[in-house]
Amino acid sequence: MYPHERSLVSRLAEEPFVLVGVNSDPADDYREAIERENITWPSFWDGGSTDGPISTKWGVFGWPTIFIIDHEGIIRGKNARGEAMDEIVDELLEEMKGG
Amino acid sequence: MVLLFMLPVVGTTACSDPEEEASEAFAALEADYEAAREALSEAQDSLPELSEDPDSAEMAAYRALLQERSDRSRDLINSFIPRYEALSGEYWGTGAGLEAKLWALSMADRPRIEDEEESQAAEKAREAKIAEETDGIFEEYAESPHIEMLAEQSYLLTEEQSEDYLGRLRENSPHANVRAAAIYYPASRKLSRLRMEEMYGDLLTREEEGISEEDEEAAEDGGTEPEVDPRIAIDADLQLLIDEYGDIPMDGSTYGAVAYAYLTAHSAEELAIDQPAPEIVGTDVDGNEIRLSQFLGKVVVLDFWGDW
Repeated sequence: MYPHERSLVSRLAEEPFVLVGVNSDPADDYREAIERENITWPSFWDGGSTDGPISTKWGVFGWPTIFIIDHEGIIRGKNARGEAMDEIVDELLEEMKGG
Repeated sequence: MVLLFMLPVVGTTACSDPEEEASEAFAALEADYEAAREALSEAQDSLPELSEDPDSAEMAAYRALLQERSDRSRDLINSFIPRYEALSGEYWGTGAGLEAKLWALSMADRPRIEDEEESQAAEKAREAKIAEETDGIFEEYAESPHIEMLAEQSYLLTEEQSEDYLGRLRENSPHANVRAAAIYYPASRKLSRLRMEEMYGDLLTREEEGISEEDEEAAEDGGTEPEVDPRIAIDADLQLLIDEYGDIPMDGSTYGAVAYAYLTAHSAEELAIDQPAPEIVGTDVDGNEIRLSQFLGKVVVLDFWGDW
């Protein structure tokens, strides 16, 4: 999980792209994971449990769950993982540049 | 000549609070358990590269390795269950005593027996044991603020126990956190179930209850009972949580905040592809505000994750 995300983030470091987390761990576990896994991307903290308000509001009851959102704020992909996720992101970046 | 008197040594346990003492013992046991898990995972090499061919010898070896790891992890848990049970016995009545008991019950292994009949009998026995243990918990902790933990883990209860105990707790518990939990957790389970049904149709209920499609149609035609929308009662409970228990903490959040999130949850249509992503206003773990809209102009991967 982490290695793929880290490589996506570093590959697109110069692009208008951002990975935004919504984390459901207890605060201490989360802080420890940030350090151990060298997590550099911004992340909402959802109150320390899978019953947190953001997950609840977004109807998420399986983890991880992914939404891909374009530069205009439109949902363009859901639950694509690994290479499928990379492909959608690349397409959206192309589209954004008027490709 | 100076006379030295032996001063009586004041025991640290003699004057300490039983709750505190139990918490310390529990924390020490948790640390032991974590250390044992860590030692187990450090003793294992990283998994080899997975072969593409599902029938290859490497793949078979890979599966065997995964099985062996799962067995070792199970052995480790099994070796800790009696220790959690013992701690629970020693500190029965305290919060840590209950937490240890719930750990032991929720970690108990499902019987893995080849013979189907034997396996079912063993599973029944396991369920009966859990029901008996949870009866005991209710008896001891009904008036305690700690029974909030049982409401949280009410999946351990049978349907009848859950209705009886949580119903009584929400009416009679002297503690607001317990009343809130007894309202919240059953509502949350019902909502998750409705959400699943919304996503996967009513296949789930039919399979579970053994109702055939024909039966259901017949029941609909007969119109014997008017259908009551289950959301009405659930929404009333959520509103009650907001109104009466809004500030009661629930993990790092509050019952009020979570109930509000459920009441105002986005529908499946609102979260569909090509819909505008709803705004999120939240904070990072240090309390700094983040809004999803601040990333407009960038492609965003919104990743709901946990380190487990």
